Amino acid sequence: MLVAGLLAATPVSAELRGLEIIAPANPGGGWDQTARAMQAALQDAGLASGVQVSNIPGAGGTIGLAQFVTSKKRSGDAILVGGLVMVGAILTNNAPVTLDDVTPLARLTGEYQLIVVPAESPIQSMADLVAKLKEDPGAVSWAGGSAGGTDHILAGLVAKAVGVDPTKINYIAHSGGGEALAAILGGHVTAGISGYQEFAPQIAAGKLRGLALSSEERLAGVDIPTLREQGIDVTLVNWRGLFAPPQIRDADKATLSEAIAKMVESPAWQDTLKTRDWLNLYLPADAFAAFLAEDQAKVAQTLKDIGLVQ
Amino acid sequence: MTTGRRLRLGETLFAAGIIALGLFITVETARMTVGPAHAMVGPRLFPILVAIGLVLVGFALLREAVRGAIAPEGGMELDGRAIALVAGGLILQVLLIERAGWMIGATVLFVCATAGFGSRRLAVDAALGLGLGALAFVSFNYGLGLELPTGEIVEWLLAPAPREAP
Amino acid sequence: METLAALASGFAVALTPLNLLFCLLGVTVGTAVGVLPGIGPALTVALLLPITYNLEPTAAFIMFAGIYYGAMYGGSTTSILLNTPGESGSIVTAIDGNMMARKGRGAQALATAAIGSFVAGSIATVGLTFAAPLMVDLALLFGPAEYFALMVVALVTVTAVLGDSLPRGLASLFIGLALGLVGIDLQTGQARFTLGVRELLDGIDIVIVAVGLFAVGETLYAAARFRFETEEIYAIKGSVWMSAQDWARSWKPWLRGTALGFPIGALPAGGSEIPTFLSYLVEKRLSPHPEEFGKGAIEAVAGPEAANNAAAAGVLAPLLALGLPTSATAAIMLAAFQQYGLQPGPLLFDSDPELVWGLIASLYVGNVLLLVLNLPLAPVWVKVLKIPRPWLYGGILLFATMGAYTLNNNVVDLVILWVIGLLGFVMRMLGVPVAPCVVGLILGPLAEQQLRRALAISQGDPTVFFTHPISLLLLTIAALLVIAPVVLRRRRKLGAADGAK
Repeated sequence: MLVAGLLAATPVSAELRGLEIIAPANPGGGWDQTARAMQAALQDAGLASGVQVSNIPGAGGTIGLAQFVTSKKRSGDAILVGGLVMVGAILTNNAPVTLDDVTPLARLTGEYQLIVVPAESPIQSMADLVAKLKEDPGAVSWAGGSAGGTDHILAGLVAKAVGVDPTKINYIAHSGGGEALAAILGGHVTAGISGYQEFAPQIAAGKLRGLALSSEERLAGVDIPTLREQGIDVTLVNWRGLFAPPQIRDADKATLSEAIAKMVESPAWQDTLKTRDWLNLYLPADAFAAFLAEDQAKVAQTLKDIGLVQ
Repeated sequence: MTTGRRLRLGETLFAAGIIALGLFITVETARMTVGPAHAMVGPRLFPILVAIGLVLVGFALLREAVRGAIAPEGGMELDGRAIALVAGGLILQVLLIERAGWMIGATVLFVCATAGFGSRRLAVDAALGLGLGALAFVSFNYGLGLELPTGEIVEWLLAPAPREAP
Repeated sequence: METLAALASGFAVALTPLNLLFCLLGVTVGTAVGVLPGIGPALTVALLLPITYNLEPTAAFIMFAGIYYGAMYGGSTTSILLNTPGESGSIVTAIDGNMMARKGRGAQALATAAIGSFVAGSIATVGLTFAAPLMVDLALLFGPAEYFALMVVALVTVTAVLGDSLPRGLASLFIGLALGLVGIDLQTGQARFTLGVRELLDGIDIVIVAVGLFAVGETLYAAARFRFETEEIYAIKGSVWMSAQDWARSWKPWLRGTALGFPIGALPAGGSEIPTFLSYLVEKRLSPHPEEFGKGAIEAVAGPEAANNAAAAGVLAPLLALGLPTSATAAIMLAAFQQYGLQPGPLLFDSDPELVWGLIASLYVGNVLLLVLNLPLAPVWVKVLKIPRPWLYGGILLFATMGAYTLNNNVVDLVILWVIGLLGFVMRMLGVPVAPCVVGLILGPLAEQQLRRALAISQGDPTVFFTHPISLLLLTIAALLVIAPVVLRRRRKLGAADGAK
């Protein structure tokens, strides 16, 4: 697949030539934005030239993943963007190709999940919500993204941690972020889950109340307690990371890893993180592989607990 | 090629197809494994309603067909060669688009379609198809950065230097 | 009057030569992408985002707004002339618009679409300027129960496009509903009827079905009949301008289309298709000559085209007033705000008034530019129909396959297009109307999800549909829409019988 490089500046000392970054989603989404921001940063920093971004959308990224595995095999010049959503989609769709078939390269960014209620809701704190959940799990409706996605997983983790049967949670799946947000703002559901950034403006405007964040520690400048602080031992990060083809040679993997490590430090990337409010969650290949294994196990268990996966 | 009687046969087959679709949905729905997740109305209700509707409508159509209530009275003539050319052109496009690339696939489709409509000027049609295909290719891939495929064969021909073998 | 002052300052921003140029660029690009099936404004804006990165945000947004409005105009052109809807909001336009074009009234169809879009776009932009917060408050009252009731009202539209034979119309509707079942079930993640094909997990795209049924099916049919039948397709017959009668028959549908499109567009799950359905239904019911519908009634072009443009403006209301993206394009625009480090959301009006009001003012400007661009071009565009038929249909197939492929960069979509095209051909041959199929495909999945959400939230209590006042009202309207024509027809028959005595 040939793609027109949109910003094809050619620095002299480029190490990587003709790198292809594959975003397994439509233009505009989080994975695509990550891919395009990387394209710009790699080229600005003179780490690569002629970087191309291509989109292979569909089924939570599993279609792009499958195509990546079959078409790239041993290539040293292709990177796939992926994330937590893909982990969930692979399990719920029973996808034949999984993240075990690709080579983890790096974790780049991500965001933490936030549990909110409408401002007019009588629920003031996470404790109130948990009490209501324990009383009658069906009476607490949660609005979030698609079934088995990040938001659903967090709802399942919270239920299990507070001793409520995760199969009993009343999770209402929505197709787009806007749709779920509207349901929460309109007070049609009890609570909502999404990425912190999506809710932040509404909280600032006093339309939503943030109850708990899924991060390990409080985020700088955010006045919302974590789940852990409130006695619920759950953390979850909606990460975005990079993968290399399944049988990439060690030398190529080292080259790519090094370029990414340098890119993460580059002013261009740091600038992107700042303007877009992305968290720097960089982990190099080995640490990312270990994190991924743990995360996959956690997600698989949660989806079983919720009853979405047998 | 099609007379009133054939059309009646077609109508019967269409009705049978609708019923078959309904039955297929019923079978597939029954075979669906639904997890224990909390849901008041599961993923099966709608398919079943649609399946019932299909079967009922299928039988109503069957009755119409048997009674001979066919839309164009006296049937109509159809040009089988033209259908084959247009439908075949589309299939060739499916087969060619990623291997030979968009431009070649588009040209072949255009030539087949024009031939289906009785055009005999093969060279003119091919040139026009290639021109349209190329215009679309250039404006899309360079103007918008979209990805109409160049085609493995063309890419190989155009490759400036053989890439390092993996 | 604060609003007026702000709007005036917005015009000062939008009317600088550079921003005017960006607006012109936007509407031109937008019209071009609207014409092509599969490539919508969302994709275009997303692809242009990296290029515009170094642009000043106001200029970039003015261009994006132009693309957005332009795409709505462009979508109708191919619907009318080639029976190939470029956008899902233009599907309804194809039904009567293409019939008009075949009768040599393509220029009038394009004109009523362009003027209707202008009228609707302008009125809706005024609505956006003065009533956006109010609209949004109303829109948030809609929960799953209300949406389900709205879908039921929209489903009544099917009665207006069923054709002469009830079983055939219903067969088409149920085929559409069946196609809508394909894919992952949103509520449970369960894959349904995908036949093990991964590419079907996300369902079958509406545009592919519409293009397959309308354009490909039609082409196959035309090819099959080409040797035997010389149905004249006239590019132009008589005047190219709208007659006094055309105006008289168009202006009310424009206004009614606007009245339906803007509020429904502002609904977070409203979309641009539902108002076009409702507009078609309303026009057919109110028309003194409903028998013309489906055969080239100008009202059936004027109303839905106004409705989809008004809906496009409606979508911007929750985006600007609340930071709530309710369509794919709105979501991309939100991403664009973030790219510039802007805080999208309820505070945007205060934090960046120049940008917001510049954007709103440029919507007015864009609308005028689009009318100026499109109206004189209508008589030019219809000349497309003078192209010899082999080339015309060859070109249609070329653009249909290009649209289907670029949707997901996937050959499977081309296969689906082929299968649906053959289905459309068979339906055409047997006199089965194709419009109900599209209605079923669009409304089926929406209705199912909203029904299940409503019942999940109420924990299985079905009375929610009748205890929520808006839902009850909508369901009553739906019932009246079904019953009233039957009662009226019976009364008319009785009256005629009485008169005969």
